[in-house]
Amino acid sequence: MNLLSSQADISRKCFENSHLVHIHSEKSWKSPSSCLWSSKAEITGKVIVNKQYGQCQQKKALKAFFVDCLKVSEPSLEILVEELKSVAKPVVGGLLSIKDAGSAAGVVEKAKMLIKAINSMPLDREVLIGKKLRSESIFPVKLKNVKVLKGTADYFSITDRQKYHEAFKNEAWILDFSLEEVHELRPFLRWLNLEDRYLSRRVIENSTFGGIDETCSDGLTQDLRFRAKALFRYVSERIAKFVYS
Amino acid sequence: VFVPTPDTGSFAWSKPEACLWDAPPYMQSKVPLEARYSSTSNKSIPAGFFQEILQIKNMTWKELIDELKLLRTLRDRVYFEDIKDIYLRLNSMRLEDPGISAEIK
Repeated sequence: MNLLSSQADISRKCFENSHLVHIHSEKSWKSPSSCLWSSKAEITGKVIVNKQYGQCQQKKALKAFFVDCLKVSEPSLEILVEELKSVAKPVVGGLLSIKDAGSAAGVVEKAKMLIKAINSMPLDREVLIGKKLRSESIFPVKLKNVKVLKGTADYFSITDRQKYHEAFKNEAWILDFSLEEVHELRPFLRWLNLEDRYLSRRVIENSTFGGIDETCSDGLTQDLRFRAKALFRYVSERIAKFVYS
Repeated sequence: VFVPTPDTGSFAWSKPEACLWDAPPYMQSKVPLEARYSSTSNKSIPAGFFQEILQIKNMTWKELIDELKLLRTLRDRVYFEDIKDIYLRLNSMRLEDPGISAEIK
């Protein structure tokens, strides 16, 4: 041990060697290195301590003690990515529906939490590439009521229009995140080069007439009006640009 | 050293080395002498005698670490509030003296 160690350094070593962090809910004692102060997703083998030490009156001082002195922190991007990869392992290759196994649904939910947690970190492209995340089966997808994890080699789409989602949710594998969630996950999806999987980029709309005689449809009329307006605006803008340039 | 016990009115005898002067009342690895005296008597405590003549020291962070080590062996017979208090004391001691302590081997 260094002769000139500070009190904080020695305390940390004592805590580490003698497991002096008390986990009240488990009635157990842990070393600081197996603790996290807080985490948006659970990490295997780590106890999150702010649930018991970050909720009381003295939470500010306790946080200072755990984070500054014992170096108990939040999980790094690397830890989250590793956890996501290890969570994905048991489900790869197997089609497990919610009905078949509650654990499969649990795994998919855990992957979703981890992806959200990763997305909330400052994303470091080097880490994501270095950890080969793109080649792992870590993407929670859903078809009807079946949820599995798939990789980028598999075919799946991403919801970015509710209308398309409704049309295809029973036909194709779609990333199991809502429209709002996909919006939040944009940084993550961009870093992993998944933007070409947005439904809006994949769906081609064709207008056909399948009716026999003329029946007035308010919905279709509304739709046609909307498109005509958009088309008109687009064309007039192009003409204006052309004229003024 | 005569050590009174609060509430029960009983007492014990202890060696000066096994006592600390200023220490939290819940302490078990050493006898928190001032807390024991002040909780049992309203009369003035002979602090000078204990601290200067008998050389009973105030608690430092090292005794708090020892206390945690002891509590760890007691399994579920521990009070969460006491442990929290020890962590808080360790934190404020760390902040009061963030410098270097050279006496450690």
